Amino acid sequence: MKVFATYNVKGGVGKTAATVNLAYLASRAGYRCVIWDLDPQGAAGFYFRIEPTATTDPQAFLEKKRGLKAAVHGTNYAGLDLIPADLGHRNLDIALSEFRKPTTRLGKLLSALEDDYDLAFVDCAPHLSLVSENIFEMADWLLVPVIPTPLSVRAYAQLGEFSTAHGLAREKLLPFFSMVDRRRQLHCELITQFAADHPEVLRSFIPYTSQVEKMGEQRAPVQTFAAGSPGARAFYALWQALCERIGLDDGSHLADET
Amino acid sequence: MSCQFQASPGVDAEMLGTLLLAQTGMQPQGTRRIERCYLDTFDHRLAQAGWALDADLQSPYPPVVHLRRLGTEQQDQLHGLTSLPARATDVPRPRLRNQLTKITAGRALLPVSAGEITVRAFDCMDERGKLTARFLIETSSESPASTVLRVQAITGFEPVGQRVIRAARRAGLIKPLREDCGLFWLKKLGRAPARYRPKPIIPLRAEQGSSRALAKLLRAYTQVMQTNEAGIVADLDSEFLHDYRVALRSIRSWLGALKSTIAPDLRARFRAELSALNRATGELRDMDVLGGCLEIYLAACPEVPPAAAAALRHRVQSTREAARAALKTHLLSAEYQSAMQSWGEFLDALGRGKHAGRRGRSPVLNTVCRALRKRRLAILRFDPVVARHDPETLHELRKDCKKLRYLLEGFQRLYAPEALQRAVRELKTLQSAMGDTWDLHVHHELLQRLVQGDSAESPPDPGALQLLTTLGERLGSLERKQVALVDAAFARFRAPRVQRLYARLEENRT
Ligand SMILES: Nc1ncnc2c1ncn2[C@@H]1O[C@H](COP(=O)(O)OP(=O)(O)OP(=O)(O)O)[C@@H](O)[C@H]1O
Ligand SMILES: [Mg+2]
Repeated sequence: MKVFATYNVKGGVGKTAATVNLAYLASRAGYRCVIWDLDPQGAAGFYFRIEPTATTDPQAFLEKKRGLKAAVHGTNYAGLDLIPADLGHRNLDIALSEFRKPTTRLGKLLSALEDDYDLAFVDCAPHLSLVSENIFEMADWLLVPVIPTPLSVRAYAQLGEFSTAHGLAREKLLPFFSMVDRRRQLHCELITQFAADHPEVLRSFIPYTSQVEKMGEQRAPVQTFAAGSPGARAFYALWQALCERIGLDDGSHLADET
Repeated sequence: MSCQFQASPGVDAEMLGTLLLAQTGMQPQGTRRIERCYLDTFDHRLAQAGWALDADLQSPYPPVVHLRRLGTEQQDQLHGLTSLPARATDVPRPRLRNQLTKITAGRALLPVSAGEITVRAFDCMDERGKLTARFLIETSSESPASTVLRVQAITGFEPVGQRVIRAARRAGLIKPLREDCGLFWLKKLGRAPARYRPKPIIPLRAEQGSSRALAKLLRAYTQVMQTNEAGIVADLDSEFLHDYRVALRSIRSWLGALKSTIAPDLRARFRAELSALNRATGELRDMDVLGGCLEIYLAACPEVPPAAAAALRHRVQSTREAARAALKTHLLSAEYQSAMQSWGEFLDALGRGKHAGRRGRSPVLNTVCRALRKRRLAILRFDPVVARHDPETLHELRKDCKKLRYLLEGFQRLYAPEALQRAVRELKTLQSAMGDTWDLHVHHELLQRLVQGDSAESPPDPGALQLLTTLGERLGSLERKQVALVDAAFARFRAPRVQRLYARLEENRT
């Protein structure tokens, strides 16, 4: 099982939108996928009409080695499952700090699903915390949506510094531009400059489009209700760029995509 | 909780549909008429391993193929297929491909059965529009009285499906299906695949007359041969011929080992006919095996130029094709049919106590024990020193071991299982130490023949000659290595402990 985490310290940059759409596309390509909604707000679950749970005490949750299996919910789409957010996990940090190896706990939990899925997508809350350190530890790749604004670009640079300082392999970072408005001069300039400074950036970006915005109304991946729209096409292109980068079969030989 | 159900007598698809629609949140998803096709290897390896591979065909769409655990709705869709997979290697997803490859071991995936089925789908949604269960009602116009209900639970929402099922069961509308829905349909459509075992285990009684017992065994293995004929003729999978020949070889071996149980004239006649059949099927089998190994050999000889390799491939292919055509003609010929018929009649008569030889009426256990002893002593006569210089000696040992193995396995029901298992295990150790350099030998000769066959018109291709030399060298070094291994294994087999084990079997003491 390969693990992708969608991460950025900044909020509202399109992390959840990317998680939901990429995981959906991966399942269409024939991979068995699971989304782990680690943001207690439960946005990823919302898009799949699955309510957050509010049950487990975080300590007990972290101790139960095979607990994640029981938390899995099927979505409306074949091959795509979701572990909904848990409202009881707002203070997961504190519970994590009680463990002897506090940064590997979540990865251990996820490994219980090793045989059941090919790909896991972890949707993260916009924080830098013990939870994020767990995420850095368990993820094979960090998908980092970056909005073309100076602040957001700086936040990415900081993540790069953090990664160097904390032994997080830089090759794990897969930034891509999100919510791009090509009519804006500043966006275009920033994108060009960023690509020069950060060759690791994925060569495909997500434009700001009303269809992606509508996901909130439709509560579904954009491809399911606006296939062929610029937003849906952009996510498909991003999926292909991602696969090419990490050497994954993108399933493009399958008849029904794009 | 089971997930496949059969409608009770008198309940049809309409009634089940009405029941489903009465549930809150149930949304009909339409009706499809499909051709449901079940795929398996000719010897039903998937079913034996607990899997069902089914394809739903609805033109003009590509087939929807699922790999399912038998009796469950846990399934994986095999994405990206534009036609039915002919072999596990045609499956695009690596995980499923590996899984299937392991189970099918290279055998072809054949449509074992198909029939037209009507599928009505219903999705159950909660108030948020979340899918919580999917129901499929399946009927067949060919078998109108049977209706199947399948429940595809959505993980985390299982209670929804269970609630509906409980209600339907309380109302007496459905009962659990005792077998997988796939098998259920095959049976209803009258197309259940016959049970097949390449090496049937035959129940025998120790005191039974030898000729009758032998007839029973021979008949079962003749059946195996006949089951495989159609597959050989249609050239669906080389394994049909493999199984055919294993059965034929077993029959010949038993006929030889228990020869005194049959009237000498008849035994001689059928012995001759069966060895002719062995020869008639040998060429194609050789080419099948050579064809399978050719790429490995070529990869080991990178100095063979591509053009020569291509010519050789072509030559092997066309020789195989010729052998296949010849065998097909033979199997369909009146001569073969009538030979098999008189063989069958002979076995029937033998089973009724006719044509018995000198020892035909003595208890089968005694006869088999004597034969076992004879075979074992033949193996003990093997001289490892001679084998060092003479591969034929090694090959003779191999054949003797095989004969002993056939005796042990064919008449296994006469022996206590543990003693038999231990004896077979010891024999297997010896057999695997001998390896199979014989194939290499045969291939070396075959290639020589093929290369020289070419040279009738033109001088032999230097590339092919190079291949022959390299193969010859490899063969020599493999054989030298093997003789050393055989030395050790043979010493072990000769040890008093193993010999006592066999002696006890032969005297029928356990
Ligand atoms: N490409 C886009 N075009 C238009 N709207 C978008 C796009 N991507 C995301 N949005 C909208 O922006 C909002 C924030 O997006 P999203 O929830 O994906 O970001 P996030 O980084 O996960 O936020 P948070 O940090 O709160 O988890 C949502 O309302 C979403 O519908
Ligand atoms: Mg989010």
